[in-house]
Amino acid sequence: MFRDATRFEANELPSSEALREHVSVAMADQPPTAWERSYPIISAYRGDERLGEAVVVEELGKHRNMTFVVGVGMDGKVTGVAMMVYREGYGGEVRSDRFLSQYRGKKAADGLVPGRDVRNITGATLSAYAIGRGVKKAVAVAQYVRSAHDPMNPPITARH
Amino acid sequence: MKCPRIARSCAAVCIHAAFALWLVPSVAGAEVSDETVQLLMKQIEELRAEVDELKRQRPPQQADQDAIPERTGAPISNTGGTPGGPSPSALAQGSEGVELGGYGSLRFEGGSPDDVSDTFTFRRFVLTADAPVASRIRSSFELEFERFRKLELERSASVEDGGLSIEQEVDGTSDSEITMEQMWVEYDLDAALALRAGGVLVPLGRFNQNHNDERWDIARRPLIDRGSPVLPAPAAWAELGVGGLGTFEVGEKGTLEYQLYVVNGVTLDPSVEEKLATRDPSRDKLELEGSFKTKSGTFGNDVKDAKAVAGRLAYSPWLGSEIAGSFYYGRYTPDYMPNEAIAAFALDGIATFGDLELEGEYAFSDFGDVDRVAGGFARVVGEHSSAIPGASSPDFEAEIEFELASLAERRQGYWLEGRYDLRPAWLTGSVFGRGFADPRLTLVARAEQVWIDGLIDSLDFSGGAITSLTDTDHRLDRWTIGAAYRPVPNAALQLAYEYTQVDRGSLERVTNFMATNEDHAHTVLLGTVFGF
Repeated sequence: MFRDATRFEANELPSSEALREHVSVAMADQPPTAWERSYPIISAYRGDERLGEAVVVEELGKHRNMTFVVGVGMDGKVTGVAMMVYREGYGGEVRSDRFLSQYRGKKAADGLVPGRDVRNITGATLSAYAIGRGVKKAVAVAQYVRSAHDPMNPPITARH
Repeated sequence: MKCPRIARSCAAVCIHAAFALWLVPSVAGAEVSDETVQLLMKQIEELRAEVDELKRQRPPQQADQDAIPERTGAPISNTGGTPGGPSPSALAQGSEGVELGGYGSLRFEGGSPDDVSDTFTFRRFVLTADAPVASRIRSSFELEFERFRKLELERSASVEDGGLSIEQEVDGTSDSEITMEQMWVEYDLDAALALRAGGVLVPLGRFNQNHNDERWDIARRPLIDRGSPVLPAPAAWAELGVGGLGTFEVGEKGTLEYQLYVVNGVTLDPSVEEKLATRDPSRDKLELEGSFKTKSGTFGNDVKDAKAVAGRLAYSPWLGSEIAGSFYYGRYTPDYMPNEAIAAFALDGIATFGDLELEGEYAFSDFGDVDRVAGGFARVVGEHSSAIPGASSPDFEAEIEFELASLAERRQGYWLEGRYDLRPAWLTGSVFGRGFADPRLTLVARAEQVWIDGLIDSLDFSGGAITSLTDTDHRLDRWTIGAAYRPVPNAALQLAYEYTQVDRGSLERVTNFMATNEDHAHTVLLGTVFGF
């Protein structure tokens, strides 16, 4: 994700009632299973041009949380997903690029249901659902960051 | 956490560093004085020195764990959760500890055979655990309770009538079983190689490896894996041994996965059955029957001086599709019988086309020269049946009998299953779907056939020599159609109709689930499965 970037800026976004409300609305159809206390966010730049944000999120798989980073471009589309820590004993195939690459280009309004919107991995269904939720959460967080700093970029709304 | 003080210090440093990094961009747009820059640089240098000092203090085992972030990565965040909201992050609950789970299934079946009762069946409850032992070592087990409710043993000793009296009573539910389905420890040497030792699932075909009930939409396992097993032992089939497994990436979208094990292997194993019969007008009878049949190998004291090998190679050209070949080879006769081996192979695969999924498995098992095995069996046993001297009387008959059960020269068969997922709006809005993120209805159909060649029907012998041996060939067919409703991926309500038939003889003769003398059966299955 953000291979054209020439520099990065790391930030930490503390969670707040307003942010949780924003994420909850954005994920009304598939609520998150974990609330982070804060979100590490890395902004990517090419020169002075901001390319987007990489947001680190967590979601619960079958038994354990997984930690992964989601790149969100300035157009709101996912630029990439990478697994950082996968703790489940099974279903590790979701770490593969061939699975995670399915999320590239997805937007907030897109469904991310395994078997319907993205290909599922047999035996890793709950992990696949978790990644879909995490991607939606990351997109919502990125949108929130931008809406807070850029009045021209309105917050996302729930999908109906 | 083995070093809480260091861990807290590290966390504090990380928070400070993150906070400093957070500050930098916030002041980037403003006028930044040289003093501010100097101050920040000084803080960074101090933090760096503190981190270096902590690294020096860190014990070696902690360093080893940190070298493998995929296994031991520290949580980025914690999580308190919100009232009425999602549950707190498992990280706060020690997510690196034992992962306890399980699955269960039950069904109701009603069928056409008059000699089979409609019944509820508690298929199984399986308790699973997965625990990291160290950064690259983990352990896992499955403990199965199949059709099990109770096992009770009563024993007492007392002095009566001038002598010692010992009483023992075993009571339990019929057809019950407690099984260690698998129990192994795995050592990751590399992304493409892990060593696994213990009770491992034999990688022959695809069902045995993916036998968890909540994954399937029909409340009955396939014939070749369970009901009329072509596999040398019915699923879930585990053997004690050691082996390696791993996955390679092939091109951009493909993967190649392998497994290879050396195990004790399937054994022609005896069991002792007791039969009590009242007969009119004949004498009452007590019969002790030694029945030999192929079973999953022993977990100790192998009775044959030979080990079996099993392996599987699976190629997945893209996500959702896989084709695999697998084999099993090993002696199954005990040392006191002629040396004969099982040679088995399987081809299996899965393919996904949108909402349609096709999955199937073909398996073949050759049990060698079964007549030779029967001859060796006769030589060892001597007499097929004999009265127990001194125990019989004009009113009572006591007998010992030996038999070779369900042994055939060759077995082969397949199952092919198609599943189609539906997510109708009416379902999502109905009482069944309300409150669930992705309720779905899956239509399912399965076709199965099994060919059994040279199934021993009767074996009589006397004086160590066979006096008569008859065998027959059979073909068993089953078609199933049904639907499964899944409010969540790991729970389902299942409904299916199945038609089963055998070309000659009875279904009881060639299956282990349909105790009827009839040669065909219509059956309705209602089931539920869940995993957690």
